[in-house]
Amino acid sequence: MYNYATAAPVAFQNWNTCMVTQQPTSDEVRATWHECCAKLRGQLSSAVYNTWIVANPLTNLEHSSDTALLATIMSPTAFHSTNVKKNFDETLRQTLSEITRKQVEIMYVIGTQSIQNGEIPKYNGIIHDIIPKNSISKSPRVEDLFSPKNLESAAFDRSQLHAKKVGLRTDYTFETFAVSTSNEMAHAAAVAVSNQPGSSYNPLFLYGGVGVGKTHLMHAIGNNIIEQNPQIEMIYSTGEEFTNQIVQAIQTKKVSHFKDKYRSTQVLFIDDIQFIAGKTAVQEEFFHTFNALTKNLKQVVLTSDRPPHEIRLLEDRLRSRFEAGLMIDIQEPSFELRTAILLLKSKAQGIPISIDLAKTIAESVDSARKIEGIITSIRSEVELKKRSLTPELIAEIISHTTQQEKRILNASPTDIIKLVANHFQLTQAVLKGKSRVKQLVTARHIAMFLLKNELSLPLTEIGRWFSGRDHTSVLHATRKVEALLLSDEQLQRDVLSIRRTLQRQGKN
Amino acid sequence: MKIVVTTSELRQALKTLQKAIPNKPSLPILQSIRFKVTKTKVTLAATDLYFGVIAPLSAEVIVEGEAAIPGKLFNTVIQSLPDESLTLEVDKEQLVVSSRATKSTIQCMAVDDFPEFPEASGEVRPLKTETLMKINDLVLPSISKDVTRPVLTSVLLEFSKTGYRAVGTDGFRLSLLEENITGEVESTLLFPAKALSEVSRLAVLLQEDEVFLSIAQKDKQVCVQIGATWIFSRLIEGEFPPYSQIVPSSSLTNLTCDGTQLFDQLQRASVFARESSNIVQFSCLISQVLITTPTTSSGHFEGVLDDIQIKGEEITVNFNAQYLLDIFKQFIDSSVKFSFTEPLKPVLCTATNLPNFKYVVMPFRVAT
Repeated sequence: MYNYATAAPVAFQNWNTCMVTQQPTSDEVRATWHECCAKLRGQLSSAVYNTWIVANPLTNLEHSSDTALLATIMSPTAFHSTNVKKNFDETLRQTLSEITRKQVEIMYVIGTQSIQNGEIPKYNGIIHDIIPKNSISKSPRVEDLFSPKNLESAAFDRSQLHAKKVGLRTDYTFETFAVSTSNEMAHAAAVAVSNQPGSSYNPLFLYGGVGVGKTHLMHAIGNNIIEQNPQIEMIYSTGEEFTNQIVQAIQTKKVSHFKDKYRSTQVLFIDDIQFIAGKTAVQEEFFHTFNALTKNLKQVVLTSDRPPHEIRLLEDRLRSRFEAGLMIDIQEPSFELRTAILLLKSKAQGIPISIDLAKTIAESVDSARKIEGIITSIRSEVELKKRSLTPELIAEIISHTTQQEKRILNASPTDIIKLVANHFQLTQAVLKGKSRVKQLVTARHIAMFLLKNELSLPLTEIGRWFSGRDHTSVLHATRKVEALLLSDEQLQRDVLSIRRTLQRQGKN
Repeated sequence: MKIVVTTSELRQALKTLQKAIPNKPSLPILQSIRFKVTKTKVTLAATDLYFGVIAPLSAEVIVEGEAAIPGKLFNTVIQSLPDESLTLEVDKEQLVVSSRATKSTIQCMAVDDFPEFPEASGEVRPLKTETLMKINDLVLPSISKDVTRPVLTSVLLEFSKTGYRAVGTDGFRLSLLEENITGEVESTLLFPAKALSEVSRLAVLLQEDEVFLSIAQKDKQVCVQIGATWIFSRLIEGEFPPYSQIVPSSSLTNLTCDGTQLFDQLQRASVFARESSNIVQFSCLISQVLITTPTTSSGHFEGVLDDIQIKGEEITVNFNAQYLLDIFKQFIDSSVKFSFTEPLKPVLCTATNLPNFKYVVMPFRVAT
């Protein structure tokens, strides 16, 4: 009989004394197996010993009860396992029982030890040990297809391609978005949504005037989601495109196809959602799409130029749903933010301008979009006319753009009245009429204000446009608007938007 | 045991077993062929414990029994005999092979030591011989022979309800063959390339149209039934490299050319390329493609591909000629399309006659 007490290695002596509840450690398992091998080596021929014992090691031991142990024998193939079990089960059980002084039962598994321990060997590229990292080898060689560099660039290409297919601008990312107090809330929400689409804020509703960065943020969310998951299904469209697609689907009798497409997407972006207001069938379809998506925790992101409750002719059920999500107002960029945007964008265009020049430009322009225009003109001057970047050049470009603006503004009073009426979805007759409903009055005041400020018409003449009102009424209106403009953001946006449209019309 | 069998029948059975008999096994019994004779059938079996084959033998049974016979010796004896009827009889641990004019006595091994075969279990998947041949021609040439990286010596097989996908790579090129693989992948296995090549060879040899895979993931084993013949192989464990990620999704230059002309020019170029690490250079110019080899002391080669279409920018790429020749012989009589992005980025090759196949090759980096 084997005398365990005198011959056992140290690891085992603890065995006897260790508490039953404590499972054997991997060192103890290894020592047990070592012992078992030593005992069997003498009894078997070396070929048999190597094939059937050494190649099929003990990988685990655990207490199944106070007096019994469950041993795991791991074989490389089913062939090994079948034959060890058939021919050596008794031998192994006895030997292991003798060593551990417990009743041993054996479980046979197939695999390799490293994998059993839970580490599946990760694929890491072929390692070129011979070639030192920073010296380029003179002799020709083929690099690993799965090198991190290749994988990375392939993933990049893939996500770029996907983004392009979806219709996202790949240069609109969070990296190129300047953040300041006026938009930090929107930025934070957008980042949160892009990291966990569907579960953080759903829907996300961004609103603000033109050129404040709503679309940029929306594209950045899309780009970030694609970067994390290149396979994701995503739809980006503007309110107008959405409308057109429905119309087309109805025309070509493919409404079900349209429905499938929109309702199976994982992320939906609709830019300028206010466009669908007043279009019954479109709102109906959008309502169902919206419900289908949010019910399945699919992310919806919307932008608009005004908050939901100010979008006229928007169905109440849609409005309440928009308001149920996170609504964020993006304000006009402050001077500091404009400077930051200038620095960022100019760098992206490859003509980094100094902070002083950036400040000069930021002082004279008010929107982010105009900044982009100025940078483009600077670039064309620098690249095409080979001029150097000087304060004089900047001044010239700024004066040029502002001149353009002035020239644009010789619209007729009718133009302005028509535009204001359109903006507030009123008829011109009502706007010019006598009614004093509150909303109407605001619109009328804005129209008067614009006629005074943009066209410099005399007060009496302005009064004549509006059912012959007195010049004092006009004066009151313009002063009121001026005063409100300092505090009321919605008014600011309305005026700004009308002014821009006016400028655009002037250009055409 | 005692059976009567024709030499040709026996030769055919030995042909199916030949890859399963190891040359110098650590366990001597593994070099034997196990004969199992019952009233109704005779089977021969051989294994190296990683790969095993059980093959049927049509013979007239006289006495039942089992025997383990040294494979190489037995094979040589049978190959040397003329085509006629033989009697095989085991008596006192000796096999006597008698023909009309010969009597060979071979010392048997202990049949009890012969390892038992595992059971065939797991989910069953049919695979067409036609598909196996395609895998053999298109995927197996890309497989690595480097045994230190077992995953790359295997073919990744994936099955969905409707189709299959087979992928092979050695880390420098990649073959991707897929047919009708829509919907979810239901089964994934890493099939050792050598075993798969043997399955394909035997399916053709035994003239079967379809084989059946029994995949036992838990036992890391696959059994393939080819008619009455069974092949047993272990499955490889590990993570297959992220193949789908490196298949180029876009390209800057597309070259379309005639497969036959391309293969011929490549063969000529490879004669010279042997001297210089097998490098052949493709220069895609606006209207023509030059295939050249570097100048060595023996000389160099210059060939032109006409009848081509090039879209995109001019590009020059260096390839290992062998990588292209291995696969392009399947592209003869077809139109071959190369999609290049950058000189050192993976190149995608496809052929019009094989719409389900993609071949991705990594170019050579040549120091200038």
